[in-house]
Amino acid sequence: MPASLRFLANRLLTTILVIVGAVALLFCLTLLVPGNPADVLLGPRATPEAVAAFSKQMGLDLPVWRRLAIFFGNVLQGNLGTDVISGRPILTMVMEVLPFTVTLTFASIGLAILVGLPLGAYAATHPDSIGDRIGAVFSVSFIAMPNFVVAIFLLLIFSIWLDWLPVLGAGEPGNYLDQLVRLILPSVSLALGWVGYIARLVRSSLLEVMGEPYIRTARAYGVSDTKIIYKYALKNAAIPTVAILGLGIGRLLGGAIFAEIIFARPGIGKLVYDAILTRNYPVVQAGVLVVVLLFVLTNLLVDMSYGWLDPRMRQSARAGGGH
Amino acid sequence: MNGGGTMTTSPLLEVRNLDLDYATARGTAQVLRQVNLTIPRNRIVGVVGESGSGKSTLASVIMRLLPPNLSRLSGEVRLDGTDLLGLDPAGMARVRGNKVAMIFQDPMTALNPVFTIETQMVDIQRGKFPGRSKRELRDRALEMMAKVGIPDPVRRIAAYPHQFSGGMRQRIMIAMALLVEPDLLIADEPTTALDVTIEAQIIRLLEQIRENFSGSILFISHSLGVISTLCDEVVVMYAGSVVEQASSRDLFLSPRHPYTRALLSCEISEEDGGDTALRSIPGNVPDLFDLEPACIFAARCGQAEPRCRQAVPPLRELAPGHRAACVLA
Ligand SMILES: Nc1ncnc2c1ncn2[C@@H]1O[C@H](COP(=O)(O)OP(=O)(O)OP(=O)(O)O)[C@@H](O)[C@H]1O
Ligand code: SF4
Ligand SMILES: [Mg+2]
Repeated sequence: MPASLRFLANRLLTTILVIVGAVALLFCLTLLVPGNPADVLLGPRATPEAVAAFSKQMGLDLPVWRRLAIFFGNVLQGNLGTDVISGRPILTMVMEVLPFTVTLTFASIGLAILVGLPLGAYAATHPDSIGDRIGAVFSVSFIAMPNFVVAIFLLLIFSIWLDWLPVLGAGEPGNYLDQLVRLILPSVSLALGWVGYIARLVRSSLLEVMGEPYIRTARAYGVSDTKIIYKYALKNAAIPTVAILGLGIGRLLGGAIFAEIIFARPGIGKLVYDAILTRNYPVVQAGVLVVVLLFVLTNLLVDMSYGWLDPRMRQSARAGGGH
Repeated sequence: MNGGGTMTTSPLLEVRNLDLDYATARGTAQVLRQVNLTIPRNRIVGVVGESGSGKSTLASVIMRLLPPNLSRLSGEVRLDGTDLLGLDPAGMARVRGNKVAMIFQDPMTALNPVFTIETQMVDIQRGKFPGRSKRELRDRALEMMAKVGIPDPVRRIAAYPHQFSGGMRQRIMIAMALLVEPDLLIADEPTTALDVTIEAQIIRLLEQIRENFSGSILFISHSLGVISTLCDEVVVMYAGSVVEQASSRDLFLSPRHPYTRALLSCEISEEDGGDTALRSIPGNVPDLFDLEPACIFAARCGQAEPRCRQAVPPLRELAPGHRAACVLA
C-alpha cells in the first residue's frame, strides 16, 4: 500500500476511534447527572407513576451496558431522541441550527485568513519596520483578549453607540443581505484574535522560509519578489501555520458558542446553552456530540490538507524511484 | 554597454578592488580584501582555496545575493562593462537568471520541496524568455533534462525534489543553469555534497557540457585536482585575498606564490585532495578580524621577510595573464 493511502487509512481509523470514544463519554456523562433523569426531565410536579412509566419508556430500568448499546445503536441511526419539551426529534432541532454555527465558524476563519495572511506577509517582508511593530502590538493584544470581551465591545461600539449594525439574531430567513450584515459582528469578534494569531504565525514561518537555500535559488534566477513570496515561500510557510491552526479549531468552536450566546444567534451554542438552562439534558448531549463531530472532521480536513501542501507527506511509488 | 569591436576582446567579468565586511557579534569580519580577478570570454576559471577563504562570498557578490549583516561592500564587479554593484535591485534581478546563473553546493536544499521540478524549471526561465508559453518552456526543460542525463524526463519532470537522489538533483540544478543560457555560469562546489562516484559522474557531465557551452564558467572548488581537469585558468584565494591567478598550465607548472606551492605539494602528497591536504600546511588560517596591513600569508610562509609585514603585497602581473601577490614573486 502506498504511504499516502496508509496515512489516509490511519487518520480515518483514529477519527472513528475518537468519535466512538466521545459517544461513550457522552453516555457516561448522563450517568453522572444527579438524580433520576426522568425526575429531572419531568420536573418536581410529576407523579411517581408518570416517572416510572417514563423511565421504562426511556429504558432507564435496563442495565448500564444494555443502555450503552442502545445509545450507540441510536446514534448510529441518527436517532438522538425526542425533545420532551417541544416533542420534536432532537436531530431535526440540531440540523436546523447547525448551518448557522458552520457558517459563523467558516466566515470567521475565512475572514481571519483573508486579513491575517497579507498582514503576516507584509510583516515578514518588512521586518522591524513601523508597520511590523504596530502589527505586532495589535496582534498580541487581539490574541490576548478573550472572544467574549471583544464581542461585547463590538456590540457596544457598532450596535449601540454608532448604531451601524443590527444588534442581535441571525436575520430574517431568505433575506441574505440581512443575514450577511448580522454575520459581521459575531464573525469579526471571533476572527480578530485569529487575525493576530495567523499574522504572527505567517510572519515567523515566512521569515524562516525566506532564509532557506531554495528561496536563494529562486532569487538567483531573477524570479520576482512577489512571486517568490506569494507563490513559493507562502506554500512552505503554510505547513507549520496550518499545523498550529489545526490545534486551535477547538478554541474556535468554543468561541463560536460564546458568540452565539452573546449575539443571540441561533446555533449549536445557543441551543446547548438554552438546553442547559432548562436542564434539557438529551439536547445538551446531542449538541455536544455534534460539536465533537465538527471538531474531529475539521481536524481530519486539516490533516488532509498537509498532503496537498507537502508532497513529502504523500510520497508514493508512482513518480519515485530515482536512486 | 558600449558595443564595438573592443567588446569581444574585453573580459566578460572583471572584479576590481573588492572589499567586503560582515558585522558579527565579535566585531567586523573582513571577509574579502582587495579581491581582483578577471574572467575572459568562453573560459572556465577555477577558484580554489580552503574552507573559509571567501569563495562562496565572492560568488554571492557577483550574484548580489548578500546576507543582511553585510556592513561594507566596495570596489567594482563589471560584467560586460556594467558595474553590477551600481545596479538598482530591479536591474540586478534582470541580470540574474539571464546573464548570470548559479549552481549551488548543496543540491538537497537548493530545490523547493513543495513544488514539482516542472514548476521550478519553467519559472526560472521566465526572466530570460518572457514571451514564451509554459508549453515551450516545459519542452526546453525536458530537452535539457535529457541532455544532463536524467532518464525518462517526461515522467520525472512531474516529480518532487525528494523523489530524486543527490546526484540527480545536482543534474537538475545544472540543467536549470544551462536553460537560461547565461554568459557567466557560477558553480559553487557543485560536487562537494556528493559521494565520490557521483562526484566523478558530475565532473564528467561538466566536461561534456563545456564542449557546447558558449559562456564562461566560474568553477569554485577546494580541490586542485578537480580544477586541473576542468579549468583553463585558476584563481587561488587565501583568507579573503586573491594570491595568484594564472592559466592552469602556468599555475601547475610554475606556481609563483608560496601558498600556491604549498597547496600543490600537499595535493600531490595526499591523493584524496580536499581539505585534509590543506590542513597539512603548518600554522592556522588567520582570523578575519583586525587584520594587519601585511601579507595575509606571512604567519605561515616559510620565506617571510620583514618587508612582508610592512604592507599588503599587491597582485602584480608577472607574465601575460599570470599574477601573484607576493614580494618575492
Ligand atoms: N553572513 C556572514 N556573517 C559573518 N561571517 C560570514 C558570513 N558568511 C560567511 N562568513 C565568513 O566569511 C568567511 C568566508 O566564507 P565563505 O563561505 O565565503 O568561504 P568558502 O571559501 O566558500 O568556504 P567553503 O569552502 O567552506 O565553502 C568565513 O570565515 C565565514 O565564516
Ligand atoms: S609576501 Fe612574503 S609572506 Fe607573503 S607569501 Fe610572499 S614571501 Fe611569503
Ligand atoms: Mg563555500
